[in-house]
Amino acid sequence: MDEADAESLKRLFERAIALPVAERDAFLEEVCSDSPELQVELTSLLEAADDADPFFASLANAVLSLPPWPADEAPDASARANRMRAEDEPDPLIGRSVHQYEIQEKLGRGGMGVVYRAYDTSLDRTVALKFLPPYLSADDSATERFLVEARAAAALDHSNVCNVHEIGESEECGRFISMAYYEGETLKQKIERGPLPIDEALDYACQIGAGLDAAHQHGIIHRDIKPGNVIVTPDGTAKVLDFGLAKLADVSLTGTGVRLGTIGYMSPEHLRGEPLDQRADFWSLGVVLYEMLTGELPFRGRPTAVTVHGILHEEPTRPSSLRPEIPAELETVVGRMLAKHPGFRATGAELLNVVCGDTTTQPPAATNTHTAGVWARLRSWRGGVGLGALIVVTVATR
Amino acid sequence: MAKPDLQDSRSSTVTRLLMEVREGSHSAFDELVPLIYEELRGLAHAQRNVWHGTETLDTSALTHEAYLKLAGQAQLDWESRAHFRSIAARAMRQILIDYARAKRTQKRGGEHVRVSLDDLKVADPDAAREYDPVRDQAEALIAVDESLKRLKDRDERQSRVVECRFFGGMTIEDTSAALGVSTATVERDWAMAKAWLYRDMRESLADKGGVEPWMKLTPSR
Repeated sequence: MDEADAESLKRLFERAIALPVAERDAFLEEVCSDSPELQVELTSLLEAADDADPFFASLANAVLSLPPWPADEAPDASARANRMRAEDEPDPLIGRSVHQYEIQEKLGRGGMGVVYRAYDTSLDRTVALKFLPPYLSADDSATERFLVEARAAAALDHSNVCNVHEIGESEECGRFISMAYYEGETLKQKIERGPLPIDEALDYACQIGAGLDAAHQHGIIHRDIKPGNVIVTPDGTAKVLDFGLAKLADVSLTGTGVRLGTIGYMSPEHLRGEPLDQRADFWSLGVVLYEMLTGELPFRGRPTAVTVHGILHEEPTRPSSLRPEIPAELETVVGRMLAKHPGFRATGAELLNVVCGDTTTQPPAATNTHTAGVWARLRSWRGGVGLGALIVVTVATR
Repeated sequence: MAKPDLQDSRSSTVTRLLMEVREGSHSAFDELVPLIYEELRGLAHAQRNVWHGTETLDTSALTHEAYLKLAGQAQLDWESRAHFRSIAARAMRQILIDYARAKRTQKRGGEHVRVSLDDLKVADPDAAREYDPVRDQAEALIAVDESLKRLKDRDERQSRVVECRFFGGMTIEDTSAALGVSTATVERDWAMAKAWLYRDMRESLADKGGVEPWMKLTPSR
């Protein structure tokens, strides 16, 4: 390729990449009509360009500490839309009994079924009963896999994981899950009233992280961490609900669009349909933390493709531009959790390092046991000195 | 710490070489890189616990700091500083690659450890490989470096843009001043170089018989 060709390649690349993806092929057809080689080259470069940006941004963010955010964008404070509310119509199940449970009140509805408050007559306690929709009750291998994981999740004993009592089945109502009933409200309800105090947001994030660590140690990935799946009890304990449920929904519902409500919390690898590991949960936790701090989702927009594109390719608005008092350290944490590439994403032990500047802990190859320990420590430190003092200590020890 | 007179003579050497670089001298450039490398490495080591995957290197700040130490007293203009930082970016690249190689060796416990098939008998094939961001980052940096060498043979200016922007943390404006081209050219080179590098890394990995986990962001097509 001579110099003139190289220059023309660059110019065409520049013009093509500025076009919407859908229009690029037509553009290339037109301008490369007499040079199929050029067309092939440009097509392949353009394809690589989509993946190259997040790759370099993640790598730079992880290693080189380049500014992770684009130049400040105007915050869009009005975009907190798309709220789902529980429906209020009368429900035929209320007042009926299923096994030993008397169904009392409808608590909510989501993609994964309807939840009721119920009274367990045999053990004399109030429980939450979740009935799975029929497509999650079928007898097939997907359901079997779900049951295996759901039972593993039920065996988790951790103060930040919702306690599952039983997975049962009734002829009339299909499969159901009986779990602890907690007073309090979901994180979603809290966020709807506006951003949370910074130390409160960090506290919930750490608690959710501790619950996730416990599950990850047992090989259970949540896959659907979002504010609606976290209940905060009156004493301030965060309880993560629905471990393992999302897996079956994914298997059964691919392509039906049922997941749209939670797309804003999905990791890039999840959107790409790649196999997930625990790092996907930390992405979602990063989104939740961002939303608790700013009241906004980092990636949002209509149509859904805009949100998807943002998650895959764009950096979110800096949290501190939406809320100036957010400390730089915390902003770094959120940025590192939202690394597009799971390999560069901050998880438990790293988060502690970033938040506390604790240079004495192990590098992030640390084991899960270690990670669980640091979450606990982070919480207790937080309880003892408060975030402000913590950051002062951090700076002083560097 | 350098004695003041030594510091002064080093500083005047740097200033003289910088002038020569601005006049187009390649040999002055090559002479400056090791000088700056030494200074930068000292500064980077001074940051405690440099880059364990948790600590990042603020390369932009480091190159500024090296500039102040090595040429600051001469009160050079903005363009000279941009020149300096573009050379520092080359040194920074070497430092980072040195780190990455050391990390890789350290993590592997030598270059040739292989996981036996028995170790892979787990339900989830992805779980077989332990998550290790430091190793992934080190591999990624080394791959970028190797692809960048190939890019340099095709388009030297593009490779310099990548050095300034990526390894030196320089802005579009500073890069444009250092390389003596328009900001539009820098932006165009930067966008295309990233795409070219990424494609090149993917292809060379495929040649080696597989896609490394750190490239998994690439959807299989």
